Amino acid sequence: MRYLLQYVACFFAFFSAGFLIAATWTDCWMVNADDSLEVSTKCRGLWWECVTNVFDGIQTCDEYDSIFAEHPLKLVLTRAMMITADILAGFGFAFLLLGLNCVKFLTDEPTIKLRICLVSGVTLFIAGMCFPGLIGSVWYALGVYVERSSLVLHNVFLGIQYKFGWSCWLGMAGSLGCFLSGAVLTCCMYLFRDVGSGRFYSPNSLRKMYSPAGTTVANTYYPSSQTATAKISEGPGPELSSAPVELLLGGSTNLNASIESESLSAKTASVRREGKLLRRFSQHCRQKRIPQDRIMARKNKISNLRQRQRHGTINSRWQLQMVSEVRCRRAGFGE
Amino acid sequence: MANAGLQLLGYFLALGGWVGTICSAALPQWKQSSYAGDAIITAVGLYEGLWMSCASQSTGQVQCKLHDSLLSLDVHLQTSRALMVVSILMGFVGVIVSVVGMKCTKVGDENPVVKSRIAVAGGVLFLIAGLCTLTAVSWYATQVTYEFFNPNTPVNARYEFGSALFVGWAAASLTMLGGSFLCCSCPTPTEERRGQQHYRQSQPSTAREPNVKMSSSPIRGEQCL
Repeated sequence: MRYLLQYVACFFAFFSAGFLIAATWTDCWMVNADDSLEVSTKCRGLWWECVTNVFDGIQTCDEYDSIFAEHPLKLVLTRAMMITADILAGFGFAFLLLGLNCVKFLTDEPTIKLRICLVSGVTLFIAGMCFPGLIGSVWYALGVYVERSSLVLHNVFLGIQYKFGWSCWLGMAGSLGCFLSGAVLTCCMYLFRDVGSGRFYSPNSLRKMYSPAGTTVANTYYPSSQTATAKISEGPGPELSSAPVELLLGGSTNLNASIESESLSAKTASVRREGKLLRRFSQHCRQKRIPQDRIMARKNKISNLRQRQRHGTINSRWQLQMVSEVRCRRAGFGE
Repeated sequence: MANAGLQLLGYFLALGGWVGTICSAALPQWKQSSYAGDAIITAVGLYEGLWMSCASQSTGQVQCKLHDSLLSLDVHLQTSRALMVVSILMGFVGVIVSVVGMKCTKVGDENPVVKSRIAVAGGVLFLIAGLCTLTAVSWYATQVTYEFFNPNTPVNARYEFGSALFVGWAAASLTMLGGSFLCCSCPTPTEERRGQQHYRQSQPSTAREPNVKMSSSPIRGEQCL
Protein backbone atom coordinates (compact mmCIF):
# COMPACT_ATOMS: atom_id res chain seq x y z
CA MET A 1 0.00 0.00 0.00
CA ARG A 2 2.75 2.40 0.96
CA TYR A 3 4.69 1.69 -2.20
CA LEU A 4 1.60 2.16 -4.30
CA LEU A 5 1.10 5.53 -2.65
CA GLN A 6 4.67 6.42 -3.54
CA TYR A 7 4.06 5.70 -7.19
CA VAL A 8 0.79 7.63 -7.20
CA ALA A 9 2.58 10.59 -5.65
CA CYS A 10 5.41 10.29 -8.15
CA PHE A 11 2.94 10.31 -11.03
CA PHE A 12 1.20 13.40 -9.69
CA ALA A 13 4.49 15.13 -9.00
CA PHE A 14 5.77 14.51 -12.53
CA PHE A 15 2.70 15.90 -14.24
CA SER A 16 2.19 18.82 -11.91
CA ALA A 17 5.83 19.88 -12.17
CA GLY A 18 5.43 19.77 -15.95
CA PHE A 19 2.22 21.78 -15.76
CA LEU A 20 3.77 24.40 -13.53
CA ILE A 21 6.76 24.84 -15.83
CA ALA A 22 4.50 25.00 -18.87
CA ALA A 23 2.27 27.56 -17.17
CA THR A 24 5.22 29.76 -16.32
CA TRP A 25 6.54 29.95 -19.84
CA THR A 26 3.33 30.17 -21.85
CA ASP A 27 1.62 33.39 -22.66
CA CYS A 28 -2.05 33.06 -22.01
CA TRP A 29 -2.57 33.96 -18.39
CA MET A 30 -5.44 36.17 -19.31
CA VAL A 31 -7.36 36.33 -22.54
CA ASN A 32 -9.89 38.79 -23.77
CA ALA A 33 -13.48 37.87 -22.98
CA ASP A 34 -15.81 36.76 -25.72
CA ASP A 35 -18.22 39.57 -25.28
CA SER A 36 -15.73 42.16 -26.41
CA LEU A 37 -16.20 42.56 -30.12
CA GLU A 38 -12.80 41.55 -31.40
CA VAL A 39 -11.63 39.51 -34.32
CA SER A 40 -8.45 38.56 -32.57
CA THR A 41 -7.46 36.76 -29.41
CA LYS A 42 -5.44 38.84 -27.05
CA CYS A 43 -3.40 36.82 -24.61
CA ARG A 44 -1.31 38.31 -21.87
CA GLY A 45 1.24 36.20 -20.11
CA LEU A 46 3.95 36.76 -17.58
CA TRP A 47 6.56 37.61 -20.18
CA TRP A 48 4.85 38.32 -23.48
CA GLU A 49 1.67 39.75 -24.83
CA CYS A 50 0.36 38.11 -27.96
CA VAL A 51 -2.40 38.93 -30.37
CA THR A 52 -3.59 36.19 -32.67
CA ASN A 53 -5.76 37.09 -35.59
CA VAL A 54 -8.58 34.62 -35.78
CA PHE A 55 -8.86 34.70 -39.56
CA ASP A 56 -5.38 34.44 -40.96
CA GLY A 57 -3.70 32.95 -37.91
CA ILE A 58 -0.90 35.48 -37.71
CA GLN A 59 0.38 35.78 -34.21
CA THR A 60 2.08 38.99 -33.14
CA CYS A 61 3.92 38.94 -29.88
CA ASP A 62 5.42 41.79 -27.96
CA GLU A 63 7.74 41.41 -25.04
CA TYR A 64 7.12 43.48 -21.95
CA ASP A 65 9.71 46.11 -21.24
CA SER A 66 12.93 45.31 -19.53
CA ILE A 67 12.92 43.70 -16.13
CA PHE A 68 13.79 46.94 -14.40
CA ALA A 69 11.01 48.92 -16.00
CA GLU A 70 7.84 49.69 -14.13
CA HIS A 71 5.72 46.60 -13.89
CA PRO A 72 2.53 46.06 -11.96
CA LEU A 73 3.22 44.41 -8.62
CA LYS A 74 0.88 41.58 -9.50
CA LEU A 75 2.98 40.59 -12.47
CA VAL A 76 6.30 40.69 -10.66
CA LEU A 77 5.04 38.73 -7.69
CA THR A 78 3.37 36.10 -9.84
CA ARG A 79 6.57 35.67 -11.81
CA ALA A 80 8.57 35.20 -8.63
CA MET A 81 6.08 32.79 -7.16
CA MET A 82 5.82 30.69 -10.27
CA ILE A 83 9.57 30.39 -10.63
CA THR A 84 9.86 29.39 -6.99
CA ALA A 85 7.12 26.83 -7.49
CA ASP A 86 8.91 25.44 -10.55
CA ILE A 87 12.16 25.03 -8.69
CA LEU A 88 10.54 23.49 -5.62
CA ALA A 89 8.38 21.10 -7.64
CA GLY A 90 11.27 20.00 -9.83
CA PHE A 91 13.50 19.49 -6.84
CA GLY A 92 10.77 17.59 -5.00
CA PHE A 93 10.19 15.31 -7.96
CA ALA A 94 13.88 14.56 -8.45
CA PHE A 95 14.31 13.88 -4.76
CA LEU A 96 11.25 11.67 -4.72
CA LEU A 97 12.81 9.54 -7.45
CA LEU A 98 15.69 8.74 -5.11
CA GLY A 99 13.28 7.77 -2.38
CA LEU A 100 11.16 5.45 -4.50
CA ASN A 101 11.18 1.85 -3.43
CA CYS A 102 12.11 0.46 -6.84
CA VAL A 103 15.25 2.58 -7.18
CA LYS A 104 18.36 0.98 -5.76
CA PHE A 105 19.59 3.87 -3.69
CA LEU A 106 20.34 3.27 -0.03
CA THR A 107 18.53 -0.05 -0.11
CA ASP A 108 20.00 -1.00 3.23
CA GLU A 109 18.35 1.85 5.05
CA PRO A 110 14.61 1.91 4.50
CA THR A 111 14.11 4.56 7.16
CA ILE A 112 16.33 7.01 5.32
CA LYS A 113 14.48 6.24 2.13
CA LEU A 114 11.24 6.94 3.90
CA ARG A 115 12.60 10.21 5.16
CA ILE A 116 13.66 11.19 1.65
CA CYS A 117 10.07 10.60 0.57
CA LEU A 118 8.84 12.70 3.45
CA VAL A 119 11.17 15.59 2.64
CA SER A 120 10.20 15.59 -1.00
CA GLY A 121 6.56 15.42 0.04
CA VAL A 122 6.96 18.49 2.20
CA THR A 123 8.75 20.27 -0.65
CA LEU A 124 5.97 19.45 -3.08
CA PHE A 125 3.40 20.48 -0.51
CA ILE A 126 5.11 23.84 -0.09
CA ALA A 127 5.42 24.24 -3.85
CA GLY A 128 1.77 23.46 -4.40
CA MET A 129 -0.02 24.92 -1.47
CA CYS A 130 1.66 27.16 0.98
CA PHE A 131 3.39 29.80 -0.97
CA PRO A 132 3.98 29.88 -4.67
CA GLY A 133 1.86 27.75 -6.92
CA LEU A 134 -1.72 27.93 -5.84
CA ILE A 135 -1.51 31.36 -4.26
CA GLY A 136 0.31 32.72 -7.30
CA SER A 137 -2.14 31.46 -9.85
CA VAL A 138 -5.27 32.00 -7.77
CA TRP A 139 -4.13 35.47 -6.86
CA TYR A 140 -3.55 36.32 -10.49
CA ALA A 141 -6.95 34.92 -11.36
CA LEU A 142 -8.57 36.89 -8.56
CA GLY A 143 -6.90 40.05 -9.79
CA VAL A 144 -8.27 39.46 -13.26
CA TYR A 145 -11.70 38.74 -11.84
CA VAL A 146 -11.78 41.82 -9.62
CA GLU A 147 -10.64 44.02 -12.48
CA ARG A 148 -13.36 42.71 -14.72
CA SER A 149 -16.14 42.84 -12.18
CA SER A 150 -15.27 46.39 -11.20
CA LEU A 151 -15.45 47.37 -14.85
CA VAL A 152 -18.84 45.69 -15.18
CA LEU A 153 -20.00 47.32 -11.94
CA HIS A 154 -19.23 50.75 -13.27
CA ASN A 155 -20.91 49.93 -16.57
CA VAL A 156 -17.70 50.34 -18.49
CA PHE A 157 -17.84 48.27 -21.62
CA LEU A 158 -15.17 50.04 -23.59
CA GLY A 159 -11.70 48.66 -23.90
CA ILE A 160 -10.66 45.08 -23.41
CA GLN A 161 -12.01 42.96 -20.64
CA TYR A 162 -10.07 39.90 -19.68
CA LYS A 163 -10.87 36.47 -18.36
CA PHE A 164 -8.58 33.63 -17.28
CA GLY A 165 -6.48 32.06 -19.99
CA TRP A 166 -5.42 28.47 -20.28
CA SER A 167 -1.99 29.07 -18.75
CA CYS A 168 -3.70 30.19 -15.59
CA TRP A 169 -5.76 27.02 -15.52
CA LEU A 170 -2.63 25.02 -16.18
CA GLY A 171 -0.92 26.67 -13.25
CA MET A 172 -3.83 25.94 -10.97
CA ALA A 173 -3.96 22.31 -12.07
CA GLY A 174 -0.22 21.96 -11.57
CA SER A 175 -0.26 23.43 -8.12
CA LEU A 176 -3.24 21.30 -7.17
CA GLY A 177 -1.37 18.22 -8.35
CA CYS A 178 1.68 19.24 -6.34
CA PHE A 179 -0.51 19.73 -3.32
CA LEU A 180 -2.09 16.30 -3.78
CA SER A 181 1.20 14.51 -4.19
CA GLY A 182 2.63 16.32 -1.19
CA ALA A 183 -0.40 15.37 0.84
CA VAL A 184 -0.12 11.74 -0.24
CA LEU A 185 3.57 11.65 0.59
CA THR A 186 3.24 13.21 4.02
CA CYS A 187 -0.16 12.44 5.50
CA CYS A 188 -1.12 9.20 3.82
CA MET A 189 2.30 7.62 4.23
CA TYR A 190 2.04 8.48 7.88
CA LEU A 191 -1.41 6.97 8.12
CA PHE A 192 -0.40 3.76 6.41
CA ARG A 193 2.97 3.45 8.07
CA ASP A 194 2.10 0.30 9.99
CA VAL A 195 0.91 -1.66 7.00
CA GLY A 196 4.18 -2.02 5.23
CA SER A 197 6.98 -0.74 7.39
CA GLY A 198 6.75 -3.63 9.78
CA ARG A 199 7.24 -3.25 13.46
CA PHE A 200 9.27 -6.13 14.70
CA TYR A 201 6.98 -7.21 17.47
CA SER A 202 4.00 -8.49 15.58
CA PRO A 203 4.52 -11.86 13.86
CA ASN A 204 2.59 -10.69 10.83
CA SER A 205 4.97 -7.87 10.12
CA LEU A 206 7.92 -10.15 10.79
CA ARG A 207 6.84 -12.43 8.02
CA LYS A 208 6.51 -9.43 5.79
CA MET A 209 9.96 -8.28 6.70
CA TYR A 210 11.49 -11.59 5.93
CA SER A 211 9.42 -12.64 3.00
CA PRO A 212 11.68 -11.16 0.30
CA ALA A 213 14.69 -12.92 1.77
CA GLY A 214 12.74 -16.13 2.17
CA THR A 215 11.56 -16.13 -1.39
CA THR A 216 15.02 -15.50 -2.78
CA VAL A 217 16.41 -18.37 -0.77
CA ALA A 218 13.64 -20.60 -1.96
CA ASN A 219 14.29 -19.55 -5.51
CA THR A 220 17.95 -20.42 -5.40
CA TYR A 221 17.33 -23.72 -3.73
CA TYR A 222 14.41 -25.01 -5.66
CA PRO A 223 13.91 -23.06 -8.76
CA SER A 224 13.00 -26.13 -10.74
CA SER A 225 9.88 -27.08 -8.90
CA GLN A 226 8.22 -23.73 -9.26
CA THR A 227 8.82 -23.06 -12.89
CA ALA A 228 8.26 -26.66 -13.79
CA THR A 229 4.89 -26.83 -12.15
CA ALA A 230 4.02 -23.57 -13.77
CA LYS A 231 5.00 -25.00 -17.11
CA ILE A 232 3.03 -28.14 -16.62
CA SER A 233 -0.05 -26.44 -15.38
CA GLU A 234 -0.17 -24.56 -18.62
CA GLY A 235 -1.56 -27.67 -20.17
CA PRO A 236 -0.65 -29.38 -23.43
CA GLY A 237 0.02 -26.32 -25.49
CA PRO A 238 2.08 -26.22 -28.66
CA GLU A 239 5.24 -26.49 -26.59
CA LEU A 240 4.26 -29.67 -24.84
CA SER A 241 3.10 -31.39 -27.95
CA SER A 242 6.41 -31.39 -29.78
CA ALA A 243 9.75 -31.08 -28.06
CA PRO A 244 9.13 -30.97 -24.33
CA VAL A 245 8.08 -34.58 -24.10
CA GLU A 246 11.68 -35.56 -23.93
CA LEU A 247 12.31 -32.76 -21.52
CA LEU A 248 9.71 -34.23 -19.25
CA LEU A 249 11.24 -37.67 -19.61
CA GLY A 250 14.66 -36.39 -18.81
CA GLY A 251 13.22 -34.59 -15.87
CA SER A 252 11.78 -37.73 -14.40
CA THR A 253 14.99 -39.73 -14.69
CA ASN A 254 17.50 -37.26 -13.53
CA LEU A 255 15.51 -35.42 -10.97
CA ASN A 256 17.34 -36.57 -7.89
CA ALA A 257 20.72 -35.85 -9.39
CA SER A 258 19.66 -32.39 -10.29
CA ILE A 259 18.50 -31.77 -6.73
CA GLU A 260 21.96 -32.69 -5.50
CA SER A 261 23.93 -30.52 -7.88
CA GLU A 262 21.59 -27.57 -7.61
CA SER A 263 21.63 -27.36 -3.88
CA LEU A 264 25.42 -27.62 -3.89
CA SER A 265 25.83 -24.77 -6.34
CA ALA A 266 23.26 -22.55 -4.73
CA LYS A 267 24.17 -23.30 -1.17
CA THR A 268 27.13 -20.96 -0.84
CA ALA A 269 25.24 -17.99 -2.21
CA SER A 270 22.25 -18.55 0.00
CA VAL A 271 24.42 -19.06 3.08
CA ARG A 272 26.13 -15.79 2.39
CA ARG A 273 22.84 -14.05 1.91
CA GLU A 274 21.48 -15.55 5.09
CA GLY A 275 24.49 -14.36 7.06
CA LYS A 276 24.04 -10.84 5.74
CA LEU A 277 20.40 -10.95 6.66
CA LEU A 278 21.14 -12.13 10.18
CA ARG A 279 23.71 -9.41 10.61
CA ARG A 280 21.23 -6.80 9.56
CA PHE A 281 18.64 -8.32 11.83
CA SER A 282 20.87 -8.20 14.90
CA GLN A 283 21.90 -4.66 14.05
CA HIS A 284 18.28 -3.67 13.93
CA CYS A 285 17.62 -5.39 17.25
CA ARG A 286 20.49 -3.53 18.85
CA GLN A 287 19.11 -0.28 17.57
CA LYS A 288 15.64 -0.98 18.82
CA ARG A 289 16.88 -2.49 22.12
CA ILE A 290 14.92 -5.70 21.75
CA PRO A 291 15.66 -8.18 24.56
CA GLN A 292 17.91 -11.13 23.85
CA ASP A 293 15.48 -13.99 24.55
CA ARG A 294 12.97 -12.56 22.17
CA ILE A 295 15.59 -12.42 19.45
CA MET A 296 16.52 -16.06 20.00
CA ALA A 297 12.91 -17.15 19.81
CA ARG A 298 12.54 -15.23 16.58
CA LYS A 299 15.60 -16.82 15.04
CA ASN A 300 14.43 -20.29 15.97
CA LYS A 301 11.08 -19.64 14.46
CA ILE A 302 12.65 -18.48 11.24
CA SER A 303 14.86 -21.53 10.90
CA ASN A 304 11.85 -23.77 11.59
CA LEU A 305 9.96 -22.06 8.85
CA ARG A 306 12.85 -22.53 6.46
CA GLN A 307 13.05 -26.24 7.21
CA ARG A 308 9.39 -26.74 6.66
CA GLN A 309 9.68 -24.88 3.41
CA ARG A 310 12.46 -27.14 2.26
CA HIS A 311 10.52 -30.29 3.03
CA GLY A 312 7.49 -28.86 1.37
CA THR A 313 9.34 -28.23 -1.85
CA ILE A 314 10.87 -31.67 -1.88
CA ASN A 315 7.41 -33.12 -1.53
CA SER A 316 6.18 -31.09 -4.40
CA ARG A 317 9.10 -32.41 -6.41
CA TRP A 318 7.73 -35.91 -6.11
CA GLN A 319 4.34 -34.66 -7.08
CA LEU A 320 5.98 -33.10 -10.08
CA GLN A 321 7.41 -36.42 -11.16
CA MET A 322 4.00 -38.04 -10.94
CA VAL A 323 2.45 -35.31 -12.98
CA SER A 324 5.08 -35.54 -15.65
CA GLU A 325 4.57 -39.27 -16.02
CA VAL A 326 0.86 -38.91 -16.32
CA ARG A 327 1.31 -36.22 -18.91
CA CYS A 328 3.63 -38.49 -20.80
CA ARG A 329 1.07 -41.23 -20.94
CA ARG A 330 -1.55 -38.83 -22.06
CA ALA A 331 0.67 -37.70 -24.90
CA GLY A 332 0.45 -41.26 -26.22
CA PHE A 333 3.98 -42.42 -25.60
CA GLY A 334 4.72 -46.00 -24.80
CA GLU A 335 1.19 -47.25 -25.02
CA MET B 1 28.00 -6.30 -18.00
CA ALA B 2 28.69 -2.65 -17.74
CA ASN B 3 28.48 -1.10 -14.35
CA ALA B 4 25.51 0.84 -13.13
CA GLY B 5 27.32 4.17 -13.26
CA LEU B 6 27.89 3.93 -16.99
CA GLN B 7 24.25 3.06 -17.51
CA LEU B 8 23.15 6.00 -15.41
CA LEU B 9 25.47 8.35 -17.27
CA GLY B 10 24.20 7.08 -20.60
CA TYR B 11 20.62 7.42 -19.47
CA PHE B 12 20.99 11.01 -18.39
CA LEU B 13 22.91 11.93 -21.54
CA ALA B 14 20.16 10.41 -23.65
CA LEU B 15 17.48 12.12 -21.55
CA GLY B 16 19.16 15.46 -22.12
CA GLY B 17 19.41 14.69 -25.81
CA TRP B 18 15.74 13.83 -25.93
CA VAL B 19 14.77 17.12 -24.29
CA GLY B 20 17.05 18.89 -26.76
CA THR B 21 15.32 17.10 -29.62
CA ILE B 22 11.95 18.32 -28.40
CA CYS B 23 13.28 21.88 -28.09
CA SER B 24 14.80 21.85 -31.53
CA ALA B 25 11.63 20.47 -33.09
CA ALA B 26 9.55 23.17 -31.45
CA LEU B 27 11.86 26.12 -32.10
CA PRO B 28 11.03 28.27 -35.12
CA GLN B 29 14.65 29.13 -35.94
CA TRP B 30 15.58 26.37 -38.35
CA LYS B 31 16.75 28.87 -40.89
CA GLN B 32 17.12 32.61 -40.53
CA SER B 33 17.66 35.37 -42.99
CA SER B 34 21.26 35.94 -43.86
CA TYR B 35 22.99 39.28 -43.83
CA ALA B 36 25.80 38.12 -46.06
CA GLY B 37 26.76 40.27 -49.00
CA ASP B 38 25.19 43.66 -49.49
CA ALA B 39 21.73 42.67 -48.34
CA ILE B 40 21.56 44.50 -45.07
CA ILE B 41 18.01 44.36 -43.86
CA THR B 42 17.97 45.55 -40.32
CA ALA B 43 14.31 46.36 -39.91
CA VAL B 44 13.00 42.82 -40.11
CA GLY B 45 14.68 39.53 -39.35
CA LEU B 46 12.99 36.55 -40.88
CA TYR B 47 13.21 33.03 -39.60
CA GLU B 48 11.47 29.84 -40.39
CA GLY B 49 10.94 26.58 -38.58
CA LEU B 50 9.22 23.28 -39.07
CA TRP B 51 5.86 24.57 -37.98
CA MET B 52 5.82 28.33 -38.43
CA SER B 53 7.61 31.22 -40.05
CA CYS B 54 8.30 34.33 -38.06
CA ALA B 55 9.33 37.92 -38.64
CA SER B 56 10.91 39.83 -35.82
CA GLN B 57 10.60 43.58 -36.13
CA SER B 58 13.22 45.97 -34.91
CA THR B 59 10.62 47.37 -32.51
CA GLY B 60 10.69 44.12 -30.55
CA GLN B 61 7.51 42.63 -31.89
CA VAL B 62 7.53 39.12 -33.27
CA GLN B 63 4.99 38.03 -35.82
CA CYS B 64 4.50 34.36 -36.41
CA LYS B 65 2.33 32.40 -38.75
CA LEU B 66 1.82 28.69 -38.98
CA HIS B 67 2.59 27.09 -42.32
CA ASP B 68 -0.60 27.13 -44.31
CA SER B 69 -1.15 23.82 -45.95
CA LEU B 70 0.41 20.53 -45.08
CA LEU B 71 0.45 19.18 -48.60
CA SER B 72 1.94 22.19 -50.34
CA LEU B 73 5.06 22.12 -48.20
CA ASP B 74 8.48 21.22 -49.51
CA VAL B 75 9.56 17.61 -49.39
CA HIS B 76 12.50 18.24 -47.13
CA LEU B 77 10.33 20.10 -44.64
CA GLN B 78 7.79 17.31 -44.48
CA THR B 79 10.49 14.68 -44.12
CA SER B 80 12.20 16.61 -41.37
CA ARG B 81 8.92 16.99 -39.54
CA ALA B 82 8.19 13.29 -39.78
CA LEU B 83 11.68 12.31 -38.72
CA MET B 84 11.64 14.65 -35.75
CA VAL B 85 8.29 13.36 -34.57
CA VAL B 86 9.45 9.77 -34.96
CA SER B 87 12.60 10.60 -33.07
CA ILE B 88 10.69 12.16 -30.19
CA LEU B 89 8.39 9.15 -29.97
CA MET B 90 11.33 6.72 -30.08
CA GLY B 91 13.07 8.71 -27.39
CA PHE B 92 9.96 8.59 -25.22
CA VAL B 93 9.72 4.82 -25.50
CA GLY B 94 13.46 4.58 -24.88
CA VAL B 95 13.18 6.68 -21.72
CA ILE B 96 10.60 4.29 -20.31
CA VAL B 97 12.19 1.05 -21.50
CA SER B 98 15.67 1.83 -20.28
CA VAL B 99 14.38 2.75 -16.83
CA VAL B 100 13.12 -0.82 -16.58
CA GLY B 101 16.39 -2.21 -17.87
CA MET B 102 18.81 -0.19 -15.81
CA LYS B 103 20.59 -1.72 -12.89
CA CYS B 104 19.59 0.96 -10.44
CA THR B 105 15.95 -0.13 -10.46
CA LYS B 106 14.57 -3.23 -8.84
CA VAL B 107 12.23 -4.20 -11.65
CA GLY B 108 13.02 -7.66 -13.00
CA ASP B 109 15.98 -8.09 -10.73
CA GLU B 110 15.81 -11.87 -10.59
CA ASN B 111 16.80 -12.24 -14.22
CA PRO B 112 19.82 -10.02 -14.87
CA VAL B 113 20.40 -11.20 -18.42
CA VAL B 114 16.90 -10.23 -19.53
CA LYS B 115 17.22 -6.99 -17.60
CA SER B 116 20.42 -6.03 -19.36
CA ARG B 117 18.87 -6.95 -22.68
CA ILE B 118 16.03 -4.55 -21.93
CA ALA B 119 18.62 -1.88 -21.21
CA VAL B 120 20.26 -2.62 -24.54
CA ALA B 121 16.87 -2.33 -26.23
CA GLY B 122 16.43 1.10 -24.66
CA GLY B 123 19.90 2.05 -25.87
CA VAL B 124 19.08 0.92 -29.39
CA LEU B 125 15.90 2.98 -29.32
CA PHE B 126 17.93 6.00 -28.29
CA LEU B 127 20.41 5.32 -31.07
CA ILE B 128 17.62 5.18 -33.64
CA ALA B 129 16.10 8.37 -32.23
CA GLY B 130 19.46 10.11 -32.46
CA LEU B 131 19.93 8.92 -36.03
CA CYS B 132 16.48 10.22 -36.97
CA THR B 133 17.26 13.63 -35.50
CA LEU B 134 20.62 13.71 -37.20
CA THR B 135 19.08 12.82 -40.55
CA ALA B 136 16.34 15.42 -40.26
CA VAL B 137 18.62 18.22 -39.19
CA SER B 138 21.35 17.42 -41.70
CA TRP B 139 18.89 17.12 -44.55
CA TYR B 140 17.38 20.47 -43.71
CA ALA B 141 20.87 21.98 -43.44
CA THR B 142 21.80 20.56 -46.83
CA GLN B 143 18.74 22.11 -48.35
CA VAL B 144 19.51 25.48 -46.76
CA THR B 145 23.07 25.34 -48.07
CA TYR B 146 21.89 24.37 -51.51
CA GLU B 147 19.49 27.29 -51.64
CA PHE B 148 22.11 29.67 -50.31
CA PHE B 149 24.60 28.82 -53.05
CA ASN B 150 22.00 28.56 -55.75
CA PRO B 151 22.67 31.51 -58.10
CA ASN B 152 18.97 31.79 -58.88
CA THR B 153 18.10 32.77 -55.32
CA PRO B 154 17.85 36.52 -54.96
CA VAL B 155 20.55 37.96 -52.74
CA ASN B 156 18.24 39.42 -50.15
CA ALA B 157 16.16 36.25 -49.80
CA ARG B 158 18.96 34.04 -48.61
CA TYR B 159 18.73 32.03 -45.47
CA GLU B 160 21.37 30.42 -43.32
CA PHE B 161 21.50 27.98 -40.44
CA GLY B 162 19.41 28.88 -37.44
CA SER B 163 19.99 28.06 -33.81
CA ALA B 164 17.55 25.14 -33.79
CA LEU B 165 19.79 23.29 -36.23
CA PHE B 166 22.72 23.50 -33.84
CA VAL B 167 20.52 22.47 -30.93
CA GLY B 168 19.38 19.55 -33.06
CA TRP B 169 22.93 18.45 -33.85
CA ALA B 170 23.91 18.63 -30.20
CA ALA B 171 20.80 16.74 -29.17
CA ALA B 172 21.39 14.03 -31.76
CA SER B 173 24.96 13.48 -30.65
CA LEU B 174 23.96 13.42 -26.98
CA THR B 175 21.20 10.92 -27.64
CA MET B 176 23.47 8.67 -29.67
CA LEU B 177 26.23 8.87 -27.09
CA GLY B 178 23.81 7.99 -24.29
CA GLY B 179 22.30 5.19 -26.34
CA SER B 180 25.69 3.66 -27.04
CA PHE B 181 26.57 3.84 -23.33
CA LEU B 182 23.36 1.98 -22.58
CA CYS B 183 24.24 -0.55 -25.26
CA CYS B 184 27.48 -1.26 -23.39
CA SER B 185 25.40 -3.22 -20.89
CA CYS B 186 24.95 -5.98 -23.44
CA PRO B 187 25.61 -9.28 -21.66
CA THR B 188 28.88 -10.93 -22.69
CA PRO B 189 28.76 -14.54 -23.91
CA THR B 190 30.07 -15.95 -20.63
CA GLU B 191 27.47 -14.15 -18.61
CA GLU B 192 24.81 -15.21 -21.00
CA ARG B 193 25.88 -18.81 -20.63
CA ARG B 194 25.83 -18.49 -16.89
CA GLY B 195 22.41 -16.92 -17.02
CA GLN B 196 21.15 -19.64 -19.31
CA GLN B 197 22.50 -22.27 -17.00
CA HIS B 198 20.62 -20.64 -14.23
CA TYR B 199 17.57 -20.61 -16.41
CA ARG B 200 18.00 -24.23 -17.38
CA GLN B 201 18.39 -25.24 -13.80
CA SER B 202 15.01 -23.79 -13.23
CA GLN B 203 13.46 -26.13 -15.76
CA PRO B 204 12.62 -29.77 -15.20
CA SER B 205 14.79 -30.87 -18.09
CA THR B 206 18.23 -32.26 -17.57
CA ALA B 207 19.29 -31.63 -21.11
CA ARG B 208 22.32 -29.87 -19.70
CA GLU B 209 24.42 -32.94 -20.14
CA PRO B 210 24.37 -34.31 -23.63
CA ASN B 211 25.33 -37.86 -22.65
CA VAL B 212 22.45 -38.06 -20.21
CA LYS B 213 20.10 -37.03 -22.95
CA MET B 214 21.56 -39.59 -25.32
CA SER B 215 21.21 -42.35 -22.79
CA SER B 216 17.70 -41.42 -21.96
CA SER B 217 16.47 -41.25 -25.52
CA PRO B 218 16.54 -44.99 -26.43
CA ILE B 219 14.53 -45.98 -23.42
CA ARG B 220 11.93 -43.37 -23.96
CA GLY B 221 9.15 -45.85 -24.37
CA GLU B 222 9.89 -47.74 -21.18
CA GLN B 223 10.01 -44.51 -19.26
CA CYS B 224 6.56 -43.55 -20.14
CA LEU B 225 5.13 -46.84 -19.19
